[in-house]
Amino acid sequence: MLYWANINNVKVGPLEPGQLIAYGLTPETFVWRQGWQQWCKAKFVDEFIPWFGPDPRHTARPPMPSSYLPWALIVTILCCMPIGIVAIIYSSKVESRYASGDYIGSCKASEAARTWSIVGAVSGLLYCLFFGSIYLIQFIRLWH
Amino acid sequence: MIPAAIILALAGICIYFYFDPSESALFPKCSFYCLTGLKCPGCGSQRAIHALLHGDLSTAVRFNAMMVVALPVVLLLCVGELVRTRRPELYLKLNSRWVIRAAFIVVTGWWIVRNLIGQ
Repeated sequence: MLYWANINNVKVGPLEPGQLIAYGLTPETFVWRQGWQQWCKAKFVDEFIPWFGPDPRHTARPPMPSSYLPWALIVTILCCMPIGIVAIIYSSKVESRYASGDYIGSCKASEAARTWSIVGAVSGLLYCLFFGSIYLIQFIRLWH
Repeated sequence: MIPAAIILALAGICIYFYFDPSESALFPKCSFYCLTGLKCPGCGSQRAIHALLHGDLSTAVRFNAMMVVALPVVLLLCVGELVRTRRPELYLKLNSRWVIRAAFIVVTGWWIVRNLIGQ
C-alpha cells in the first residue's frame, strides 16, 4: 500500500512505509492513503507499526549521574573533614541505585553527594579563614 | 570551571612548593586534631604535598601515606568526571562498586589504624 506523509510540513508520497521512514517519518507523523477520510498518525496504522521497533536511542540508559567521588575524597583528605565520609557514602549510593535501575534515586544520591562535598569544602574554607584571622590577631598583638 | 580549577591548582602548587607547612605558622592546623588530639585521615597532607613537590617521596609517605596513594586515584577519578557524558562506560568502570567501597574502607580504615600505630 502507498501512503502520503506530512514530514516537517512537506507532503511526501505516494511511497511505501519503509521509504517514508527513510524520508524521516516518525510514529507521530501524519499519514494518508487513498480512500481515507482524514490523516492519521503513523503509530496508529497497522502497516507502519512493525517499522517502529525499539529505538536504541530510547532504550539506551542515560549515563550514570556524577558520583562526585573525587570531590568527596578531596574534601575528606585535604580539608580534614569527616563530612567527606558522608559524601563518599552517597557516592556509593549513586552507583548502587544506578546499577539496580533506580535512575531517579541515583540522581537524588548524586545531588546529596554534591551537597555534602560542598558543605565539607565550605566548612574547610571557613575553618581556614577562622584560623587565618586568629593568626592575624596574634600577629597584631605581638606587633604592639 | 576547568580554567578556574587549573588556576587554583597551580596557585596551590606554588604555595606548597615555596612554603614548608611544618615551619610556617600560616598553614591551618587540622580542626579534628585540634579538637580531639586524634589524627584525621588527611592529617599531614599539607606537609606531604610539600615533600612530594620537592621529590621527597619517603618523607611524604611518612607524613601521610594514604594521601600519596590516593593522589593518583583522585586525579584519575577527576578525568573520569570530565568525560562522564562522552565515555559513560569508562565512567562506570572508574566508579564501580568496588572502587567506591575500597575508597570508603581505605579512608575510614586509615583513620583508625593511624591513630592506633601512631603514624
